[in-house]
Amino acid sequence: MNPQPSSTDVRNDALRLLTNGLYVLTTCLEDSIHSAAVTWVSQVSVQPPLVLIALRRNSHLAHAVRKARRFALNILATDQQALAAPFFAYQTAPLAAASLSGFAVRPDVGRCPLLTDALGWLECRVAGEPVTPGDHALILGEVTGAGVRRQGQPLTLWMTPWSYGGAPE
Amino acid sequence: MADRDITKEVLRMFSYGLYVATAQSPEGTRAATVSWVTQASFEPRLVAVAMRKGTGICEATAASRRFALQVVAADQAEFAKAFFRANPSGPDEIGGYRFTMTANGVPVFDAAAAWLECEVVEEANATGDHTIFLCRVLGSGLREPARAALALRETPWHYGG
Repeated sequence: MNPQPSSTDVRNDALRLLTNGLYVLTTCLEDSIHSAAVTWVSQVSVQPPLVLIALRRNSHLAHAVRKARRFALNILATDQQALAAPFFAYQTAPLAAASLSGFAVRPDVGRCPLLTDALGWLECRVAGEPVTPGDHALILGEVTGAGVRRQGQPLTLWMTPWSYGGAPE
Repeated sequence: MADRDITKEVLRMFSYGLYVATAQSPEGTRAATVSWVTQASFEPRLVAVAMRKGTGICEATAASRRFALQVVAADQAEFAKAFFRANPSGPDEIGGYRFTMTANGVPVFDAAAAWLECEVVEEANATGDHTIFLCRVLGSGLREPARAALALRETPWHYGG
């Protein structure tokens, strides 16, 4: 019997070569803002404009997005690693809060709260939840709003000391 | 409804890599450059790959249920560019790039620095213009460790928006 050509480690090495961005997801449910950093994000259709996000299956964030039926992705700039860091832990705040982890938010009843320092934002309504046998829930979002606040280079995960891929050690 | 131009501008702020997907079809081997790729689970390891409906690569993947996803390295822009359009395939080359079949029955280019051999476990996105293939990672290879991947943003090209 030949050894398996693909070891666990090689699969992880190859998976860690996938390029991802780093975004802060925000949503609101009842009287609270819910947010966390996400990186498993991709556009999946031009017409209609759809995005796919993967959220840890039983996370507070996945439950909040599922219930709220909408979410926003805040796009960070290359010099905003400090903004991303606190969002590696799930963050929540009252809907009326003016800031989240020290960063200003635009509260707006009936819409998703947004980080006002981000380069840009995308608002989506949940359009579906594709079936997956994985440990992350898949959420399909249809774009309902977008805005650019300023010009700048968006942050990719490569540029940071962090990684999120392969399998946990 | 969102302003289409602004939506496009923001969607193009997303970060992607470049990959060459290869799959077998009864008419031969199909290869195409894709960028809408993300990991989708740690355990089991899953990746989600979106391919434009109606393209040769999308149809070959839907039929054969298997494909290779090859990471385009930082110095391999030409490799990606070679598969922006469909190319006629020979028995062991497409567009001047040689490939060999792996034990899992997927074609992998000799030029690929790293690759994932994928098996489709779910298809999604009935309402969209791309099919989302959710795939289990059957195998993988890494010819040159520590080689950096090409980011779409570092090229003159973009996709989507």
